[in-house]
Amino acid sequence: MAFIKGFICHWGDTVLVQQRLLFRSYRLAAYRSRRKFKTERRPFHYVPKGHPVLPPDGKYTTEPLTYIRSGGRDLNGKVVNAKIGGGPKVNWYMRDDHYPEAEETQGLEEKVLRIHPDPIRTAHLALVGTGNHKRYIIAHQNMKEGDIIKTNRDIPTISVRAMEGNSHPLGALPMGTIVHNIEKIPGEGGRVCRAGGASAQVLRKVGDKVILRLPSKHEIALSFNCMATVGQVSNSGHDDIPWKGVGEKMSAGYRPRTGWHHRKTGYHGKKIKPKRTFIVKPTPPKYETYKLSGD
Amino acid sequence: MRITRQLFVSRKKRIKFLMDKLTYKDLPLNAPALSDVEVVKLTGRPEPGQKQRKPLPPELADDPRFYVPPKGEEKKNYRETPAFLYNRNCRFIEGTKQACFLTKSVRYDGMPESVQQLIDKFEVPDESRLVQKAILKSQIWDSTREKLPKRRDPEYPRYKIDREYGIPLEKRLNMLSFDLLRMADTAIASQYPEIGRSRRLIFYPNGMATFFKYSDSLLSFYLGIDAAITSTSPLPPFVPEELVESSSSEAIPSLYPISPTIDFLKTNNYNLKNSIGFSEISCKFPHTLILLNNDDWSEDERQARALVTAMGLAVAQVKKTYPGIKDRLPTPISVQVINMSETTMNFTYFQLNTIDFDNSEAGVKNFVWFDTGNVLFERRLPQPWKRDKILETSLENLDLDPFKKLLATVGNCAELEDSSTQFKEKLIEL
Repeated sequence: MAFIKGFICHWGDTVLVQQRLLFRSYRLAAYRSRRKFKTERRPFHYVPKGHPVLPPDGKYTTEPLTYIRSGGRDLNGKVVNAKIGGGPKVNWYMRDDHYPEAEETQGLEEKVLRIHPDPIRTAHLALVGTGNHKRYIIAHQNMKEGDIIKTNRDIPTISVRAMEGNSHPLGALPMGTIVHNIEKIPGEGGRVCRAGGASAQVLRKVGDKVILRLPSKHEIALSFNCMATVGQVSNSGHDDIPWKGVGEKMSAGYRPRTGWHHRKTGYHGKKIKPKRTFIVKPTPPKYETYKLSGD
Repeated sequence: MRITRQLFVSRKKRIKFLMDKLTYKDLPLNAPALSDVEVVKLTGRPEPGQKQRKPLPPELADDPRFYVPPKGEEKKNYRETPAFLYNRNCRFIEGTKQACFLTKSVRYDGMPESVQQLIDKFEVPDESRLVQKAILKSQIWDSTREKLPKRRDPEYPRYKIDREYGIPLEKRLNMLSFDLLRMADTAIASQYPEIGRSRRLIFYPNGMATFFKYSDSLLSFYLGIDAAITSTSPLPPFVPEELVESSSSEAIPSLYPISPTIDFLKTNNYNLKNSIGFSEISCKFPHTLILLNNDDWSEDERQARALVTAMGLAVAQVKKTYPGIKDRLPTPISVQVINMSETTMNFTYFQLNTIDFDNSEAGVKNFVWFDTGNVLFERRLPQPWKRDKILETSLENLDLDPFKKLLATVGNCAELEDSSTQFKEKLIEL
């Protein structure tokens, strides 16, 4: 056991103080144990790029809102991610990823009014309206102004002919359809495949569940009642355009990093591993519970 | 002793760990089970959904620094049924198509025949020189120097243009438009000098509002107008009565699945009001309305705004003269509107035949004439990245046709306004 000079524990236990030992391994261990809490290695998304200023009502609006950039700073005000900083002032639009309620067999029809790119997200935005309500949604690849979009919550026995832009539950779609903005839990809102150019494919149906292949080539099993829209998300080639240089990245909000004098670990480099075999586990049985009252 | 991570755990987390680890072992033997007990948090903080301000002490109750405005339900305007409000800032998303469906009107492009015959009737001596003078006065010769808003050119959006100083947009618009109106007035008064008594030019009139029911919902209009010409006699209809009756067979394009009130504001705080805005004694009939386009809207959206203001004013007049009427009017009402922006002028001519806006298919329809895109001159802004070529604003391509159309609309039916006969009629009534 190596004691450190002049240190007293917080809980009140006293510590024997000895002369400072001078061999190298002791000094390295003490140095590393102290540095561990100052520069902790965190993932890139530990701090978001920014947050919007939501309205105090909490209601949905189509108006553009202000977006405050974090600058890589945590709630305590210190720099946690030095690769984020700067960037242009942009407007943030409230995008509705929830699916609206629709009547039975008839569904809900909406008209596409405007399409324009989103200054923060990679996918384009589409203004869509029915009756007296307007909202923003994800635009798919071949969307044009004047199209009519339908949402249906029925699951017929025969699969539905999938037209681009329409939204159906997963149990109604045929095998091989391309799909985006998928719900994981029915009624929660779309969570999967919302970025530019993303899409998932319906593979097969097993019992009570539908199996999809995600863009990372993983497979996932979801219930029949989860909603999804047919088609591929717009702006598919946004990754292929290379950056012109550091200046363009800095003006977009990314700060530079040098690879010089950075410790490399097993985290760096491309990971090549085979995917796990996909097994659908049956749902466990529900046991009835009885409550016994003590007499 | 080895340093562990628990040193850097905050006090809040330590309490949280202890509360999460509570089990039946920590309670005394005679206590009830955990499921029968309500777990109460001892932190004293309110839940995230419930935030209430503490009541202020009586010394600070009147302090304006701590003033909290009342919510919508506590205001005087609160009513239980919601209504749709129209404002000058309501931007129609479908443009004139949406406005025509709202007002149940058939659309024609161009000017009506009765106005097109008057184009060369009124003359202004030295027309081009006076128009150029009015333009240069508003653009260059005025001595105001204010900070103009920042500007980005769509040709090269990454280029940061230096700060510009000059005449603001509002002043430029007002000077140009009211100079041209004054010139038109003098030109018409040279032929019909009775206009001085039978007409009024009102700047920034106030208080125009109407309301009516539209398919189980209340609509209330509050109109904003920059200038208005009123006269003692009403405008005759642009079109004879035979065409009015035959319009019941024509169809208006539908807006499915959108309703025309999609851009209106839905609130529970509103006031209903019906008033013209002019005096009801002298010069009570509207002749033309003038709107100054201070926004960067498209021409289609500006024309839709002009249509709805014309409709609102006509409906307000109908409710005063024929109270209780629901369907077709005995005599149609006609209103003219002029839309003026810095370089372009738009004209709309509206004729109201019915008030029944609910049925878009059956019944007699209203008429609308749109004349858009009349460019007076072009204004080219500086582009400093093209060195030595475009460094200053330049005014080019003057066209006098829109000014002649303005003379025709303002001088429409000036011969019918005879103040002397109306004065005699009033004497006979007394």
